[in-house]
Amino acid sequence: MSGVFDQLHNQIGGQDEDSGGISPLDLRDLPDNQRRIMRMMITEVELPYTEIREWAEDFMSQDDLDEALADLVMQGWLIRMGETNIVYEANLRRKAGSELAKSVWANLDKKIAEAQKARDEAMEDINNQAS
Amino acid sequence: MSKTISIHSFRGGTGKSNTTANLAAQVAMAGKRVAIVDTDIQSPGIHVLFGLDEKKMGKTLNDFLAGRCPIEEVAFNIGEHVGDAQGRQALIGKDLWLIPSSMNSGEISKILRDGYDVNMMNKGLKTLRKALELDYLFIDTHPGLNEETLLSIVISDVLIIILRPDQQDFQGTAVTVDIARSLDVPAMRLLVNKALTRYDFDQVRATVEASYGVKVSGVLPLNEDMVDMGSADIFSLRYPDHPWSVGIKGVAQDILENL
Ligand SMILES: Nc1ncnc2c1ncn2[C@@H]1O[C@H](COP(=O)(O)OP(=O)(O)O)[C@@H](O)[C@H]1O
Ligand SMILES: [Mg+2]
Repeated sequence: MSGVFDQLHNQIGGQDEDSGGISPLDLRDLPDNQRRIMRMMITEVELPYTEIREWAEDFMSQDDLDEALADLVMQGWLIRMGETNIVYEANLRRKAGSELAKSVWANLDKKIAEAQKARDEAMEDINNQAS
Repeated sequence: MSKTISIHSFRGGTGKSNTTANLAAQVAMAGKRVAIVDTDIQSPGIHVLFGLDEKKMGKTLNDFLAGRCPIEEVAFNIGEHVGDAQGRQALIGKDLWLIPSSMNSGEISKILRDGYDVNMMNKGLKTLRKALELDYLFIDTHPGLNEETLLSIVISDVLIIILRPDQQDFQGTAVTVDIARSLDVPAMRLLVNKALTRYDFDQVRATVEASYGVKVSGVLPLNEDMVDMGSADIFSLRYPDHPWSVGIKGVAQDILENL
């Protein structure tokens, strides 16, 4: 069923490029640690660096955390604010108007129909073999 | 720590709003601080079950998203305004809030046409959890998969997916389960609604659990009495001994004990 993800991803990911920020679906493609950070950051909205470090202590070295944060900032997932007391904020993209939703749906329907057809055919093969 | 619970279904008409309202009401009855957000901006409906209409509801989620008011001003205190419905009376004095979406067609089409700031929605949910000191935040989502549904899935501690015993729902639920897994949702439950009473519910549960590898929190019967009530009340409060209500209370218990 990965086709459905890809279609959703292409459609949601392709629109409204210049407004910046990310779509929740992009989370799937992040390395595990970065996804873990982002899930937490989206839930908390914004956090001081010191609190992120405390939270990550048990499963990431400080160097790895700093690298992951820098990477996420570069990709537009996080916004870094302040100089001495650094705060990070999650950066979700604006939801676009309805053109998008229609095309996502059209693609999703199509992909599911295809997957269903493939499954039906597979089932038929199995049944044929059994009889 | 407050828990965020999203109620989702791949198709509309599955019973999402009724389930959300009844679960939230039952959890509030257990003494918890609970809010419901209607993020189904395109087809809002849960307010009706709490006796709200366009006039009574005051500020809406749309006002917040348009920057016209803080989210706290949108929260409607159900425990103080239950109206005279027989079931909802039980909620007097309980800590239950509803954040309704606008029923104004102009407001709905504006959101559809222009979209909205997802960061702002996310910040609003966070503010609510804090300001109302919530134990549980329930999110009634739009059916299918879109930006706000995906956001609600990402920020959820628990995702409850409702499905009917129907091939179309089975297919769509598989997609949603896969997406939720790939987004690392910490806990998932399935809830089968509108099951024909002649089915063997234990068998339905076993089959669904085996197909998705997700725990089924309840199998709820097709409920003619609910249709008859016409969305005028919170069903499980009005008819606490009805099999549908017993089922929904089981799901509430699952939430309180395990999630
Ligand atoms: N178990 C059930 N049996 C019969 N009708 C139901 C049941 N659950 C919900 N309904 C009815 O189905 C319709 C859709 O329910 P609703 O909760 O609004 O679904 P959704 O939010 O998923 O669109 C409503 O008329 C409701 O009364
Ligand atoms: Mg609904």
